[in-house]
Amino acid sequence: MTTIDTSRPADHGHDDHGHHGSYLKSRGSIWADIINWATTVDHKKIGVMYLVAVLFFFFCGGLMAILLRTDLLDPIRDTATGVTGGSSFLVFNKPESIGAAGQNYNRIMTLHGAIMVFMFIVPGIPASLGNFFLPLMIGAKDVAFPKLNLFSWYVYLFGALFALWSVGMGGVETGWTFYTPYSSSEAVDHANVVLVVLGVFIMGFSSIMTGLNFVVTVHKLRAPGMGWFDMPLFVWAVYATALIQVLATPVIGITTLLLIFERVFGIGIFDPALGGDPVLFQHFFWFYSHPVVYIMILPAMGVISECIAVHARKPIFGYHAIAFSSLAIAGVAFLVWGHHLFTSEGELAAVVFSALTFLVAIPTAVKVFNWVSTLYKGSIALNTAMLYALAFIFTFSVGGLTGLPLATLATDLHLHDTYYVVAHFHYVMFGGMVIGMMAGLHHWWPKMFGKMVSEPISITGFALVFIGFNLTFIIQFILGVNGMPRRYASYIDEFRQMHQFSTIGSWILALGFLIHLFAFLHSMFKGKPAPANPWGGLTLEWEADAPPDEHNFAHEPLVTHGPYDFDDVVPPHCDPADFPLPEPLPAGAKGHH
Amino acid sequence: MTLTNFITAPMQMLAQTQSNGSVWYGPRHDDAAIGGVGHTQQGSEVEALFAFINWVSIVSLVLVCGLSLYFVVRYRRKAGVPIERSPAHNAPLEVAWTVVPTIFLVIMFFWGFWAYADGQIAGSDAETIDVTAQKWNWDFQYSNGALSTVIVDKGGFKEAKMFLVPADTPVLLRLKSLDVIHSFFVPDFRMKSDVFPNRMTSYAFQTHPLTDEYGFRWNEPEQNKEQGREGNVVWTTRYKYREHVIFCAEYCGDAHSRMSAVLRVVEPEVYKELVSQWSRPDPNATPEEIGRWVYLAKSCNGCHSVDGKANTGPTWQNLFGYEHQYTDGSTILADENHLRESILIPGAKVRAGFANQMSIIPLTDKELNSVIAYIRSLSDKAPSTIIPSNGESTEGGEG
Repeated sequence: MTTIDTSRPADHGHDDHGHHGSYLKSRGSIWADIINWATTVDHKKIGVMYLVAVLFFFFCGGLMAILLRTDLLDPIRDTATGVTGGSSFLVFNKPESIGAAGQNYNRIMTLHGAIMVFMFIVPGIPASLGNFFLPLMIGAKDVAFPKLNLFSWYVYLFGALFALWSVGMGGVETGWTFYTPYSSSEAVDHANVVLVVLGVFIMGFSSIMTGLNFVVTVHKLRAPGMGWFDMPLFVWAVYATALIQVLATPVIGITTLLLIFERVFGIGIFDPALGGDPVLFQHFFWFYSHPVVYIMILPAMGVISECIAVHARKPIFGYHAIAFSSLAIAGVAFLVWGHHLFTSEGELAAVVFSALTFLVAIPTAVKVFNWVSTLYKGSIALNTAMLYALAFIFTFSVGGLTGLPLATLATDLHLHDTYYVVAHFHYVMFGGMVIGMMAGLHHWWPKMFGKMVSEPISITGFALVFIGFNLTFIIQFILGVNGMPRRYASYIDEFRQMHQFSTIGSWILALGFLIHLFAFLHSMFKGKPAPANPWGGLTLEWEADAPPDEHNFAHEPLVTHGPYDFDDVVPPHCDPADFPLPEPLPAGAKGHH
Repeated sequence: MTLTNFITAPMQMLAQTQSNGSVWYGPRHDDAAIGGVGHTQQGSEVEALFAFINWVSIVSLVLVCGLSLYFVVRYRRKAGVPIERSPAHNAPLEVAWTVVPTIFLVIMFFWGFWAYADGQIAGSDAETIDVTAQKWNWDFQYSNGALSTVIVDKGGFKEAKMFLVPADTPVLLRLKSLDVIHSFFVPDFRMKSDVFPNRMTSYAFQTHPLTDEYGFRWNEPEQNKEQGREGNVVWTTRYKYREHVIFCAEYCGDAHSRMSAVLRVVEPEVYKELVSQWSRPDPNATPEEIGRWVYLAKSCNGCHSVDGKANTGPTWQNLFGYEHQYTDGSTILADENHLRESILIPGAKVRAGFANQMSIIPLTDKELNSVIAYIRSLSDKAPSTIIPSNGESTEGGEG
């Protein structure tokens, strides 16, 4: 890694020139603040606004999940006394008939999936933490197109509200995948499906604009001295994600538009009754939605790389391998959509897609091995961020390894569309993206808001989230292996105990998140002021103030060391006594780069 | 249920299956206590492969997480102690951890491919059964043209259709859908296949024989009478069987979770005998009797009750001859013409309080007339005008 030895201003950030104060500084009155935030082009404020929005939708989607799990505590049965079990827990809509009970469940299931995927997981890390930290980490003042950045936030919010409008209209029961011909059949209300699908279409533009912005930012705005391989791994991950966003999202746009055309104008594209092909929709849908899995997971992998390096105080093991595996995953992501269709596509296609799917496993495994090796001979601090990063290694490994029987043709024919798949993708999505986001939030919270989060409270939250999550989903692997199909409002009697086990896990999980919410609010109002570099990070965002100055840096930073040179550099704003360095290498000896 | 049960129950279930010879499969879907053997030749292969993948995964997981835990304890941060230098690269190690997993992945791929091919191919001597999926039922037609009309209650689900397959014989199911995409899933067979409205798919298997090794149950003659409310079962000797639940695995709407059926494996000679007796209307049957047969064979019972209970569709009791409210606000007298239209064009008029969920069910003219006759027989209201069906005089009082 190149090291440019240029002397920097010693007292950076503290001279009068270019210093504007914290980006959180109030404008005087509440109205002035609201107008200031609503019209801001500051990537940090937009990042925070995204954070608030995605966390709000995470809460909504989580509420739906708890309703679903509570619903599944008992199977729905038609008894002499009426309908029992199932949706009777949904006090706001006591079902009159067994059909209505199923419909309640299906609508909430659809909402849970659609909210979580389109409104939370996809924009989740890149739009919030990415927006905030990508420019800081490459030493830029802002993203390349600040106004486009604000616009994309409004587009996202507009699309999300558009989709949620359908709830007020009565709800949608197609599942978040909108499979045809069910989603184009008359059994499902036209207006609602069109609204949700249009919302997804609109949110797609936001995704494309954010991706485009990040690609240009990374290419054009890196600080002097920062070569491609001096970039922090989070930047690599967000960059790879942005490439997928720009390339894949138009496909879902076209697909949803075709679905709308079919419903509104009766053009036969997917519906066999009109001469269409329903499996074509599945191909289109997964051509976007599989790469999207990597839009969800790659940024989380970037966060984990940062957390493990900083909190273990270790140069990351195999920097190039991790950076290139991000790109490799982004590339192969486009070639594996067919593994969602093993039970519905032709035999040859199934064989080819099975082989391609195994290709993804290799760069993913390499990343995990690199993280574990980074811990070797480290100096490991067990704070909440690091605990989440370590939990990620476990949950994401479980998610990845349980993907193997799904990539294998014969076993997938059994496991496809069962709870095994549900458990698998929750281990990848929740165990990957959500756990990664929680790690990132705790890692960067002091920088974002200038306040520390209470460690005892957030570690309690972590423990409950980790235990609750595993209780909820481990048992679902067994359920799935036993043949419990997914998207079932009810089930045969013998699955009952396992469903109840899972439901109790989900309550513990929810409690964990409520404790985290409390910890964040507590930090906002009563938290201790954060030092500029509480963990001793070496990437550029730690050189900024906490919270950062409105223009990020008082001077354009010069990159003089690699992002993870913990062996040789005392972190900025830190006391060298707290971060003792090893003996310098003898002159002429080869460093680790 | 107490909290301890929540924790112990799954463990017990696991322990139970382990004693039955399988590590991975928990409770059975059949009533017999049978070990996890996959129940078909293809299923047993899938099970062996799954066990292989799982052991590879468990070893990898223990290695990764065990090492992480060891490092976290061994290298936890100590104040004031300088960090150690350690390599950020190790080429042999990195090559090893890329190549070794790749070898395992290649094994998994080829094994999975071979086992998959077994489930796609059936011999030309296979017994062929046609399976038709519709929202939300399965219909089964044997190679002699007979349709299954046996309805059983299973695992808390009511009105599940049962059909037979011969044991230890290659069987090919030809699958098609009348409406949306469904998926034919027999968990005990470790296999599923999607069912499409615009093309046929297939599902090939050969069950294990009904022997002590693989398990079976006896069906007693007195059980036969209770066996299925409409079975017409006249087989009076004991016979061996195994039973397996069938699910729909592709989301298909409101009652997706209740779209189940039961597959019963019997000896080939029992199969021949029962299928020849089962499920064909008596040639001398009245239109009402034929209508009743159609009601069960074509799964009208899945949505329409005959006892007055509302289901996905309106009940057939007192449907005929009464005036009903429709979603467009109109009130229509349900006469023969209206019933005919509603069966042939299900969405033409939709009853208030119900959604337009019905699929177009292919019926012959004779079957259509018989169903109408059956619906008419379920009403206590005599119509003012009666269209004679098949030239026979109709029952029911006069005007």
